[in-house]
Amino acid sequence: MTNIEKLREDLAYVRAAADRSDGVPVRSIYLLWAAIVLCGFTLVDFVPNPRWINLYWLIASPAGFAISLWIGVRVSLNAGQADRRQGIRIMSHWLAFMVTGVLGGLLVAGGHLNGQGIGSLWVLLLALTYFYAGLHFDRRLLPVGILVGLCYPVTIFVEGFGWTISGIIIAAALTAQAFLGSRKQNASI
Amino acid sequence: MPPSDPDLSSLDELEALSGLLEHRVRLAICVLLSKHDMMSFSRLKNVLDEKDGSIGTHLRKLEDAGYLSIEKTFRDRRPVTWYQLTEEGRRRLKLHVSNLMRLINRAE
Repeated sequence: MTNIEKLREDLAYVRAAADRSDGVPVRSIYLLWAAIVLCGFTLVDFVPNPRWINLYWLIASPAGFAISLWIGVRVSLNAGQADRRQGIRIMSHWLAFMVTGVLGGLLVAGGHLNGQGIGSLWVLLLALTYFYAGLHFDRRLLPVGILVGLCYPVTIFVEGFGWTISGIIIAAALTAQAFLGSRKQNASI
Repeated sequence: MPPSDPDLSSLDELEALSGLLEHRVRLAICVLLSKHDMMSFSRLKNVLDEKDGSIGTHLRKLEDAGYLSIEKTFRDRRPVTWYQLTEEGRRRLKLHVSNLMRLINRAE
């Protein structure tokens, strides 16, 4: 084996190790958001007063965000890997979605959109956020983003149970990815 | 006078590569620690699929050379040794990788 071939093999070894170290799978965060989305979307079809739906999301979104952050840090440290920069990047990504969602509420306040319209717009925004999360830091979220995007017209055109159907699809996608992506999970510390 | 034979210049560059990072496990440790802020001994061992003794020897060599710094903590009452790349380690790694890439590109 020549020196150059050996160097190439060494680099392939290093690259494989770097790939294996990418992200620590956190199943519970996926399951948490599957539950939050399923409950929140179902409420739209079954609770006539939109105030309760708004209240649910006002509490569930920041609470889910804080719990996800806590779980993420804990799981990462238990696995023996501390990624402050990556943590900040992921946190900023989801925080940007939440802030944009809140600012989107101004469209309703200004009379440009009704409650139904802003709800569907949030679904579209959620699809984009999941898709970008899949592109930038967790491949498993890519198909979830596409599925959420497909749910966007469902929330607009399917009468009666459109939101419930969408909630079930998104929750199922998140649950499936939680289990598929965590197959290689291993405790380190 | 600089060598005109491309093979000779490649040999010079090969010799210029840092001796410590010549070993692929030590190179991988430094690359992993440049990618992640800190990693524990067990995590490095799992990711690199190495035995305790082997990874321990490589880590000690890098630590002795000032490439790595260590921090010992307790997590759930168990001792954990965390490794972090020092500025010197980061500088050496950058230099080594750029030499490596130049050498490979020249060979292609």
